[in-house]
Amino acid sequence: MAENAAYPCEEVQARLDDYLDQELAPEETRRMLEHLDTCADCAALCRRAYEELAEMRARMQDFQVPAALQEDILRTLAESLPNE
Amino acid sequence: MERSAELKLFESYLAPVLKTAYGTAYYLTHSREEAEDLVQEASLHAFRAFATFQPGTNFKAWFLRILTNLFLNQCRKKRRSPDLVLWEGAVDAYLSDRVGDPQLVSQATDPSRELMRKLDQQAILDAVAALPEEYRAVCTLYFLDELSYQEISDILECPIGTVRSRLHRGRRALQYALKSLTGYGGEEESGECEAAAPEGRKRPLSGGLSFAPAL
Repeated sequence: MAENAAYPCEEVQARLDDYLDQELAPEETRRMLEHLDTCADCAALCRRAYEELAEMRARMQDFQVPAALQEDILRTLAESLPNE
Repeated sequence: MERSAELKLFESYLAPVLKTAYGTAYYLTHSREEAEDLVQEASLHAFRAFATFQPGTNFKAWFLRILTNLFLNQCRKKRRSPDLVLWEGAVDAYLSDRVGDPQLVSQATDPSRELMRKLDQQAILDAVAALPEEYRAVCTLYFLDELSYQEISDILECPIGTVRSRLHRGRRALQYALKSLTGYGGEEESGECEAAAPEGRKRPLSGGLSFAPAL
């Protein structure tokens, strides 16, 4: 494989996590994109992985903080203060 | 500074990060009650150490460091994780087996987002809870607050390379645990770990969620 050629499918799949985390060097990213532009299967894989991460993130962020938590914390902290 | 003024100042820092702090505690402890206790305890520790916090620096990272350290220290006191090496080996073996796998690519058109939406919050909570604590901390910080590797590294005080490997392994383990719950992910689903452990033995993983190859 020429040094500056697009990655083959196996290399793209092996680097997918780093690509999604934007942790690849610029040259590595270029070689990834060059492959994804021409390979429908890997492009679909990448898109799916991105969507799964986005969905997981949305689901995990969907929770409620107990309404009284802040008040309870501040009461505890105030009680910990020495009497002035 | 007067203590009551210090409390007001601390509150002004804490309020904007409380949701992230509670969410982190919730996924780390797998319990609303324990999450509240953990956030309370972290708040007390942070308030007592507030004089050491440098204004203008990242309060969220500072607070989350206190919170996650408390949690991990509690876990270390309770028990060690004797199967961590086996768990990591199983994940790595599965990942290396799947690179270049044509079935991996053929699954790419499946409506994974639709399947994920069918899972209730408890299923996601359970999947996260099944991760070893160190992996749970990295994944929780990543998904909950979209922190960068560097930010997670600063909070957990571990090398960026460690953050990266734990995040990648943790995400894959979550992905396949959740797919197993939806019934999607292949024919081989069982309570046993199908990927080869380093010693060639099969062991169930902690939490009862198996890391079974979806092939």
